[in-house]
This record gives sequence, structure tokens and C-alpha cells, in this order.
Amino acid sequence: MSLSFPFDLVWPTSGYVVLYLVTLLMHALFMSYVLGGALAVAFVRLHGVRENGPVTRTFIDWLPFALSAAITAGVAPLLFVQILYQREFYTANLLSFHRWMSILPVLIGAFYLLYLLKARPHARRLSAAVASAVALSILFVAWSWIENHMLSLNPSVWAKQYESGALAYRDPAVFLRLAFWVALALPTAFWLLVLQLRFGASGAKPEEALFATRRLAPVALGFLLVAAALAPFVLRGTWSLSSVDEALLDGADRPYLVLAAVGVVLTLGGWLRAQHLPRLSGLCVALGSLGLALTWWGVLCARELIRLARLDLDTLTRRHAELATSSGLFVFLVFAVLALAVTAWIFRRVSCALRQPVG
Amino acid sequence: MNDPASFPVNDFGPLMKGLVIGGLGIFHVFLAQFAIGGGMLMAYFQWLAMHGREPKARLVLDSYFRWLVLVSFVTGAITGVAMWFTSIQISPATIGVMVSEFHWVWATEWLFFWVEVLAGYAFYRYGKRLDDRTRLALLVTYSIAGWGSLFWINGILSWQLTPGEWVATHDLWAGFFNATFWPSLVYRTIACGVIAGLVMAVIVNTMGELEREDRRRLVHHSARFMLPVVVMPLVGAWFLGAFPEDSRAWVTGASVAMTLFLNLTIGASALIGGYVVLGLWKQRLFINGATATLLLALAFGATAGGEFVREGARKPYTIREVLYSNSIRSDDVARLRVEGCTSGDPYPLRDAAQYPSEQLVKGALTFRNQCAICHTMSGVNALEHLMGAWTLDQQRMNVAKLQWTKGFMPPFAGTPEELEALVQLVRWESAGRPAAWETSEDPAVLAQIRRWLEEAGTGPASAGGGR
Ligand code: HEM
Repeated sequence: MSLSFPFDLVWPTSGYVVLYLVTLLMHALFMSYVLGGALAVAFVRLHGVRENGPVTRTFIDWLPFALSAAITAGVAPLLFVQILYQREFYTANLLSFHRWMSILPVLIGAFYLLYLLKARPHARRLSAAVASAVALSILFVAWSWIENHMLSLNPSVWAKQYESGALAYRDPAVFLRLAFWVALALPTAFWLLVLQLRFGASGAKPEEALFATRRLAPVALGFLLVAAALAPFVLRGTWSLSSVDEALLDGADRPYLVLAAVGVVLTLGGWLRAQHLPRLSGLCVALGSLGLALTWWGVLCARELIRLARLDLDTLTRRHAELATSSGLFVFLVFAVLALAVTAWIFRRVSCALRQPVG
Repeated sequence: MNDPASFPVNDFGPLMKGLVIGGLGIFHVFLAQFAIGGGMLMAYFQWLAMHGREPKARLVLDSYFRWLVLVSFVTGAITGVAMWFTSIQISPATIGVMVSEFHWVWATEWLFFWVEVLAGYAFYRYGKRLDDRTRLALLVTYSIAGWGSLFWINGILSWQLTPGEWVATHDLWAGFFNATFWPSLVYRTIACGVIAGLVMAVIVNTMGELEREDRRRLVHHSARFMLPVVVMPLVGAWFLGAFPEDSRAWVTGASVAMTLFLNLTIGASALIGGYVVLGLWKQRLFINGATATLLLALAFGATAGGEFVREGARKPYTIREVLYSNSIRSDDVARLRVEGCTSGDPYPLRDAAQYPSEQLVKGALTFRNQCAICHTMSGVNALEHLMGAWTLDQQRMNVAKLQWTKGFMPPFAGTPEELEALVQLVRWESAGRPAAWETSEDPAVLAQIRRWLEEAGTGPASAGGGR
């Protein structure tokens, strides 16, 4: 069983795919927080639960930042996807035209609604309406990305899609895929939230945080299992691959599905421990977080292997080799190290300063 | 390299595509410059606060930063993504070449963007609870990161107009530090400061907790920050001097619209500069909210004019000497004159049934691939209006010698048959789209068109063949 993808691809394709996957993983984490958080807040508000406990409060407080981070983190894979799969990505964008472009005003709207929600968290009717509008907007954006991805993988339908003038790509697999991403986003969002609650980022008291962990655990576990059940349909089988693709793929994605499954088991372990511990132990944090990271990495690698099986790898690698003659990699690496250092410095400086009384 | 016709082309209805990207671009540039200048101004105010030079600096700073986040972080960041998406919609070939050539520069720019957002949010969220030194450190980090992203993106955008040696050597750094890089960077940096200062003048007028005297003092501090505006005329002249000769000619008389926009930009900038230096700084005038907003609107107008000129001056290219505005590579024109610009197009027309003949279908495909980037058939800048009154032979000759007809247009890159099909399409549209239309295939006409095409050559007007 080999888990060497994407390092086993030829250089420079492997380098571009690594950067794409690492930055997409960052995007996926923030995106999950936004998707899961928006759905959770909308659910709570719509059910009239007078919950203004730590879960809703923290989500409402952090969602604007998370959306900003999801977008900022999304820009990097947006760059790398254009390097890796320029023709496919551009064509899918062009085919969906206004529908695709409409994610931008929707995102701006969602942003301001999130600030409104934060400014008026207690207005019950208003916050139910606003939270639902945000959740729908985010779902719409997720749906659009999925549709774009599916369309980019199907060159055989491009001409027909263009001729028909249809702005939506109708493929039942799109909805199954949306269900899968939602099912994975929710436990991811909840785990990130539990880390926030338990490490005090939200100002929740320890007993409140523990209580919230216990309430979230069964929901998170349930959705993890739903995601695991959907994965074979979304990442394998006729929903995403033709028999030709499957032959080309030749089971290369299987180790990554196994890796994702191991991740799910570890995450389950993390949740089970977290709901019993008054204080989160390092082991518990590691279990849940490593589990999630493995799950996402496995899923993203399997997703990429399918794409590479569908497209002509030789043409792609030749193109990437041509692109790699462009200089600037060294400058990027130097600034990447600097940016990491500055990121760490900001965290340290702010947390140290917050611990000291302002003089 | 993708063939230009290998991407589907969308129809923007009566809107010119250039207007769409231009409109969004202006909006984005204005917001982004506000974000960058705003960070620097806030760092300056933090410094004033720390040195006891302005008692209300801290109060204003926190209020200003909220605006910066709400307006610039949100709308600025999304319009940034929007610029990318719109560029793909308008000209996938252009953005494709830019990404291919400069992807590491773009990736580096993203690192700066990341730091900018992180430092900005840390300040926004925790600023009030932080000590002065940490506040200043965050604001300086934010400003450096913001200005850094301008530095990187400025190299790519100025390269489009003056790629210089890069065309021959493909040396990335020669392309990046091109002839307009420095003037453009200095110009934009000053603009960032001016926009930020004017926003400050608006914001202090919305803060009820400030007295009139506080406002006057705060605006005076901002005016000091905006003082580099005095060198704007010199920088503008330096910038214009670095333009390629033909581009400079467009904006200084050869194109009425561009000349007008340039003069509007100069006029608006002079008014703002004069008011800032003489009124706000020297005479320490008080400025109310309405006047401040008006000045800000004037700054928006100046930005709009400047961006219009910058975009327009590149014509007939989107990347000078490499890619024409219609996404056709300058090297490909000769080949497309033989092979045709429609034969490799895999996307059928959506409305093919409307056309009474195959020739008109070909004409519509030719229009889509060669003209639709800048023209519509009957909306803005419509071919029907521009060519409708010409005689038949005039239409044929002027399209065949397109780059000589008007120097901002690229040479026609198709076969004589495609050219004739396009001319017939324009005539059919001008005739009110009749149900029947005779196909024009006289060999003598096609031979004449071929001669005209050969006379015009495959280079742009600036190559000088027409003189
Ligand atoms: C909160 C809003 C967003 C949500 C919920 C969201 C959701 C998603 C989802 C579900 C996918 C996976 C699609 C699939 O494989 O089926 C995805 C991929 C992606 N997203 Fe986001 N997204 C959001 C905003 C953005 C933004 C604003 C950007 C760009 C700045 C972005 C960049 C990307 C990229 C580059 C990919 C990979 C596309 C590909 O490989 O084909 N996302 N997103």
C-alpha cells in the first residue's frame, strides 16, 4: 500500500500538486468552519432554541473571521489550480458564467449578514432569518464550487453545455457530493469549536465548555459516519468515475480511502475522550486533530487522483514542465519561511500581550 | 499555450467586456489602495498617540480600523477574487499567460496578503486590549504586508504595458522590474496615502464624541500624511514618459476618450492636491463631512480615469507585443490567416438557427473570436453603428486593414472567407436581420480581400507599415 502521492508524480507536477493540496487543506478547514458553523447557527435559531450558550455565541463571534480566512486561504489553491488545470478550470468557469460569478455578491452579502448577526445576536426573529440566509448563501457557494469541479472533469459535455446556454450543470452526483462535504464539514467545524471552547478563545467557562462538548459529540459522530458512508459513492463508483477511469485509476486511491477511514476512527476516539475529560489532554487533542487531518488529507488525495486519472497526465506534465522554467520559486520559498515566522510571531506577540495587564 | 478559440466565449449582451472588467477594476483598486494607505495612516496615528502628540489619536484609530475591516477587508478581498474570476470570463488567454509566467510572484503576493489579513484581524479583534508597542507592531506589519502585495502585483500589471526585454529573453525579473514599474509603484503609493487621508476626513466627521477642534487637528495630521501628493505631477510625468511611444500618443491626443480621461484625472488630482496642501495643511482649515465626501468622490473619479488610461494605453494588446486584446498571439496571426480563426473552435453558436445562411454563422463565429472582446453588434461600441454607413468595399478593406483603420485594433487574423462572412453579418444585422440573405462567394472579391490583407501585413499599426 503506497501513500506516496503526490510526491511520486514527476517534478514539477508533484511540487505544484503538493502546494495545491496543502493550501486546499487550509481552505477546507476554514471553509468547514464557515459551512458547519453557519448551518449550526441557522439550525439553532430556526428551532427557536433560546441557545445563547457557548456554541452559538462562539460561532457567531468567529464566523466573520473564518469566512475571511476561508477566502484568503482559498486564493492560494485558486492560483495553483490555474497552474495545474488551466484549461479545465477556466472552461468550467466560463460555462457557468453568471451563475459562477454570482458567488461573489453572495459572499459579500453573507459577510455583511454575519457582521449583522454578530452585532444583533439577541434579536431572535432577525437572527433566525439572518442565520438562515447566511447558511443558504454558504451552501450555494459550496454547491457552485462542486458544480465547477464536476464540470471541469467532464470535457465531453462542454460543447453541449455551452450550446444549451444552461447556467447550471445538472448532474445528480453534485448533490450527493454536496451532502458529503456538508457531512464532513460539520464534525470538522465542531471539533475546531471544541478546541476554541476548551482553550478559552471564546471566554467560555470550563463547565460550559465541557457541557457543550457533550452535546456536540453525538451530532459530530453521526455526521462523521454519514460522511464515511457517502465517501465510497462520491469518491468511487459510477457517481464519480466511469469504468474507463476506474481502470486507469487502478485502485491508486484505495490507500487514501483507508487513510481517511483511519482518520475517522481517530477522530471518533478524540470525541469519545473529549466528552469525558474535564480538561482536554494533549493526547485527546492530538487524537481528534490528527484524525481530522488524516481524514481530510486522504479525501483530498483521493479526489486529486480521480482528477488525474480523468485527464491526460502526459499533456499536463509537459505543460507543467514548461511552466516551471519561469523563475521566482526561490523568492517564494524565502518569503514563505518569512510569512510562517511572522504568523507565529503575531500569535505569540498577541497572546503574550493579552496575558499582561495594559499599562 | 491554449489556442484562443479553445475557450468558450460568453456574450455580455449590450455591455462591452472592457467596461465590465474596467468597472470592477476601478472599484477594487480604490478599495485596495484604501486598505494599504489606511494601514500606514493608522500606524502614523498610533505613533502620534504613543508620543503624546495627539490625544484623540487612539479613539479615531479604533473607529477607523473598524471601517477599514468592514469595507476594505470584506469588499476589497472579494473584489480581488472577483478580478480574477472576471479576467477569466473576459480573456482566459491573457490571465492564463500572466499566471503561467508569474505564478511564483503571485504566490509570493498571496503570502503578503495572508500576513496582511492576519495582522489586520489581530488588531481589529484585540487592538483595544493590547499595549501600545504591540499595537504599533501589528499596524506596521499590516502596512508592510499591504504595501508588499501592491509591490508584487504592480510588477505584473506594469509588465502588461511595458514587458521590455522580457519579450526577447523571457527573463522574469526583467519583465517584473520593467520601465513603468517604479513610476507606477510610487504613483500608487501616493494615491494610497491620499485616499486613506480623505477617508479619515470623512470618518472624523461621523464621530459624535469629537469636538470641532479635535476634528480640525485630526484632519491636519492626515493632511501632513497626504503631503507627498505635491510630487504627483512629477511622478505622473515620469510614468507617462515611460509609456511606449504609441501608447503615449493615444493618451495625449490620438484617442479623444483617453485624452479626456487623462485630463480629468489630472484635473481631479490637482484639485485634491491643492485643497490638501493649501487648505488642510497650510491654512489648517476645518473640513465638514459633506466636503470630505466630495473630495473622496473626486479621488474615486481620479482613480477611475487613471485606471481607464492605464488599461486603454495597452491597446491593441493585453500583453504588449505578445497577446492582442482579442487573445490572439501576435505570432499566430499569419497562421490564422491561412487556417482560419473559426475552424478550431469547438463551441457551436447558441443561436445558429437564427442565421439564414452558413456564411452568416461563420461571420458570427468570426465576430465572437476576433471582435466581441471590444465590440458588440448593436449595443455599446457596436459594429453596426461603426461600419453600417460604409460602402461594401470600404467595409471589406477597412476590416482587412484593421490595424490601419484604427491603431488600437489588432490585425485581422482570419481567412478572406471569414472576413467576407463577417462583413456580410454586419450588413445583415444593419438590414434588420431579414429572413433570407444571399451568400457572397465571388472569387474576385476574395482575391481582393487577400491582397488587402497582404498589404496590411500581420504586424500592429505601431510597426509602421501603413505610413
Ligand atoms: C465560504 C465559502 C466557500 C465554501 C463553502 C467553499 C466550498 C468548497 C468546496 C465544497 C470545495 C470542493 C469542491 C469539490 O471538490 O466538489 C471547494 C473547493 C475549492 N475552493 Fe472553496 N468554498 C468557498 C469559498 C471559496 C473562495 C472564495 C475561494 C477562492 C478565493 C475558494 C477556492 C477554492 C478552490 C481553489 C477549490 C478547489 C477547486 C478545484 O480543485 O477544482 N473557495 N470549495
